[in-house]
Amino acid sequence: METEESKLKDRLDDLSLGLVMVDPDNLISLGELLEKIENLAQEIGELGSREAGLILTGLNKVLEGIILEQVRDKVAAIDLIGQGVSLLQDIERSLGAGAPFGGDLSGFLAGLKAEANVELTDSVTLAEPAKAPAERAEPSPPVPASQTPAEEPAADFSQDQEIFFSFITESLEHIESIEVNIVTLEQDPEDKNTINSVFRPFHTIKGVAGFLNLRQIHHLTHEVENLLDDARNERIKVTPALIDLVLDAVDLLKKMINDLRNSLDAGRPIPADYGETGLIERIHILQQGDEPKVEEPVLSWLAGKKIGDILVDQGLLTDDELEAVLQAQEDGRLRRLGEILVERGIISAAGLEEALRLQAEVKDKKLGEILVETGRAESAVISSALKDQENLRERKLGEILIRDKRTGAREVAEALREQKKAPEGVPAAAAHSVKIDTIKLDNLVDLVGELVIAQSLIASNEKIRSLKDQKVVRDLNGMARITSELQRTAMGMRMVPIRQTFQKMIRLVRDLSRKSGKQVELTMSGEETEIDRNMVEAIYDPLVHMIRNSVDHGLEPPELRAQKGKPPDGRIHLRAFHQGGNVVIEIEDDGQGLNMAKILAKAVERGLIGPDDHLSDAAVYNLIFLPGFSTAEKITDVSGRGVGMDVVKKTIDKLSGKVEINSRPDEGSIITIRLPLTLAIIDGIIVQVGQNRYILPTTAIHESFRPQPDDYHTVKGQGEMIKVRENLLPLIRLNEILGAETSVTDPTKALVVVLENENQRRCVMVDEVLGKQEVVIKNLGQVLKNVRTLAGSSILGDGRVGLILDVAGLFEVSDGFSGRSFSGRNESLDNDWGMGPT
Amino acid sequence: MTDQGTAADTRSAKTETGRKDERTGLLEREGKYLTFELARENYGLEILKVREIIGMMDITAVPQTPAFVKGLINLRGKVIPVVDLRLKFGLPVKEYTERTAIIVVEIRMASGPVQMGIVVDTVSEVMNIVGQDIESTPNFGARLKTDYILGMAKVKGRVIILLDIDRVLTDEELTLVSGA
Repeated sequence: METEESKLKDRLDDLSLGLVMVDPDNLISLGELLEKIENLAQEIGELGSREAGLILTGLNKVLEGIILEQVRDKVAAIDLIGQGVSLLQDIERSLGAGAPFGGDLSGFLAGLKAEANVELTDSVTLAEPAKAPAERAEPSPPVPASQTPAEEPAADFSQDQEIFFSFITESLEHIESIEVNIVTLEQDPEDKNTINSVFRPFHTIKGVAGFLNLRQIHHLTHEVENLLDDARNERIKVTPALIDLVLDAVDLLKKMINDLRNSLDAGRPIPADYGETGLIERIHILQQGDEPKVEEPVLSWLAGKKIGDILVDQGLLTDDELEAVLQAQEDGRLRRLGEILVERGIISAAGLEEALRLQAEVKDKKLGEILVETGRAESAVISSALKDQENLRERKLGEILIRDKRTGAREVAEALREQKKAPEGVPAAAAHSVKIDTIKLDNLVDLVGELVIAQSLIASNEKIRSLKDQKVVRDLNGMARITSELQRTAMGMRMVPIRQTFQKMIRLVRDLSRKSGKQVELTMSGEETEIDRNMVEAIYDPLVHMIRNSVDHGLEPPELRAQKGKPPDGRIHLRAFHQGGNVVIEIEDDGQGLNMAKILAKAVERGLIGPDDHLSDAAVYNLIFLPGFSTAEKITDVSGRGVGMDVVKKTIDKLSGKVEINSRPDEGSIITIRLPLTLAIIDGIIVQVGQNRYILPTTAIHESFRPQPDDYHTVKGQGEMIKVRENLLPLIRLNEILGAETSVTDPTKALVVVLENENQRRCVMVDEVLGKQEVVIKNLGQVLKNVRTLAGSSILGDGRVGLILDVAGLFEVSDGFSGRSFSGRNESLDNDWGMGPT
Repeated sequence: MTDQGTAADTRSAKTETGRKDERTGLLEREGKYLTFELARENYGLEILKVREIIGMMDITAVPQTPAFVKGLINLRGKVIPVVDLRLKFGLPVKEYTERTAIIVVEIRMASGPVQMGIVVDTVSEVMNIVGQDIESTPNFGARLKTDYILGMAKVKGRVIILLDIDRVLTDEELTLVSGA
């Protein structure tokens, strides 16, 4: 039914297109149109819609009339055909949504009679006033309802995009709550409330999708809703298979919604087919009350020949081989990875035996891995096959693999049930809250920031100060207080509890624990801790990666844990709290901890440190944040590629945060992330170099003073140092690094500011320190974001732009700089670009 | 063939000279352009990309950027970068006069719309340029990169170079990492 409908849709699109391009005087184009209508008539006949058949007959006759020059007004007649096509599209849409066609044909029929003298003898019962035509923009006569084939004609995006966007946002929220609740449901499958809480969001999404004519989404959610309805009416039981199925449906739904969003944002076309047929078949199987035999779903999909097509496409299978495979399947044999590989001749039967034996011995190795390790199959072949499945959402080899260890996953589910339940499934109902567009919110915060600046401008205005009026001073102070309070409140609006992010981890851990065959218990505390809204999204990926690492490399498999005397479930604990102006997030696991020896060895091997370097324990552990570092011996698709931890560090650096890892062998590891409470406003010290003013973050400043001649030292005539109490610290001349000309070149006549960043300290030479100011950090934007010495820009008290210096970047650049001549302007930089006047 | 309404027109645009394809190609470039002067050459920007025009103001220089990135300005609370088109095009530097202006344009970058200012000698006028007056860019060979020129317009005896301002400003040069 599915494919026929899409064929029908294509034909209708084709017809519309033909209609646009037709030349009423050109017999050939008319003939082509007629042919299209006739083809359509055949297919519509198979669907059995009477109205459609009627319309097509009418269209046919009109067209004939035009061809035979029997029609008075050809243009009007073509319009009529256009009307007919629109009606046909409505019918097609309603068929797709499973609803009967409620449109009104009378207008069309009247037109037929008037223009083409066509009277259709079939009496048509007029349905209620048409809803369908009214949904689209009123067709004005010359425009047929044609839409470019790339668009999904069922949903009209030109009308009110806002509706679609809010649908997307809300649906994604619903999906989040579904994911949390379904894991709860897994642990307590009998709980009616939980079933309901999974059922309701599907129902809601279905409703809105239907209203918006989003056919695929509507269809999918409708099926799942039915399934869940059966579950809550106790017609079927909630089984692990059902949970898996719903989660698969959720994944597919997410994809559909994202494609919808892409289509709205960037005009990308929506795929016509998501391959949801397989999923829906599984739903039907479950609904019939049969717990599908572990192998059964696999068989029915094989019957759909999707796998076969893939294998043939990959060139790994010829059509004949495919036939043979399918035949064997019908004999009731089990399709296991091993057998398929043997069939393909990739491994020998003996090799398979051996691999299976190995697998039985070392239970948690995947068959594919064993085959690769014993050299019996190319990892590329296996991983490409595995990847294809993920992409096409086919459950064949992968599913079989997991099912081979089905016992493992079942035990997991049961074990989960025995434990305490996960935190409250339903997210705290936002009883009294409003949804606000984040753009408006950010605008508000920006404006409040500017208000603070404006307010301090007035307060520091010379003329006002000189008034020395008690009342004026009091009132100004009052205003300052209120502005501060306003600022705090506005900043507070940007904060959201981290709970949302933590809860997304629940499903992740569940999926991970199944995939890896390890039992994992996730607990969390401090979910109500608030973090800046802008950070919530950014922190998600690093968290995911670190949890994956924990599960993959940190936690041991159950047998090993038993040997070590640990409880069989690995424990991962997520914790968040505020500490001294920072938000601290901790990820703690009780696995095997980091292997210091291995890390050291790997680091030396990669040339990251010398073999004789002395590093503290902490420093060793933090080596894993360097790029390309991984001590994993094998790469699973989950982690181990060595690209993860350094990306995590970079992301956190970008948020002006810090991350570190600590560990105790066999006891576990703990990763600590520190993020600033707020990104937008910092306390800054304004310094002057020549004509330019720069802002240094107060948090990085240790002290500032004017050095004595005795304090100034040089190394090899090049490196400059200043003695600060007992330490010699390198000197950075800001004018050189930043290209700001100044006449003050003698350190003893200038001011030196001691800056600290990550345990490194330098002296920075400036002309003057002008004062302290709270500044609103403005992003540098795309163009300048790569300038390392700058962290952002801000508007200073006098309206001019001030550059906020990035201390880490400053240090980096000056390190690279040492050795260059200290000649003032950076002509060398200009030349490096090779542009500008030569 | 006889004319049959608007549909027929677009399909078979006939011009006197019969160079059908080229003409319909450049019909797309037709529209309103803001023209300005740069080193005594005339340029045009699509008016829809122009946000505002402001007089010259203090520009805060930014270190470690190419010479044609003049720096940042405060535009009513928003900080935006400013590029000197003369320097970008390799034209000789000129002192800023009271006629020098900054045109604030909004271009599309990978991350979304971005506002930038460009410094020009003088701003001229908004012109409605018809497709017929626009010719495609002559090919100067490898010497001169001209893919940021939409076309050349001939109006009132002058030649106006129509710029694709997105291309001009989103060159890789602009977003290169600053050197050490």
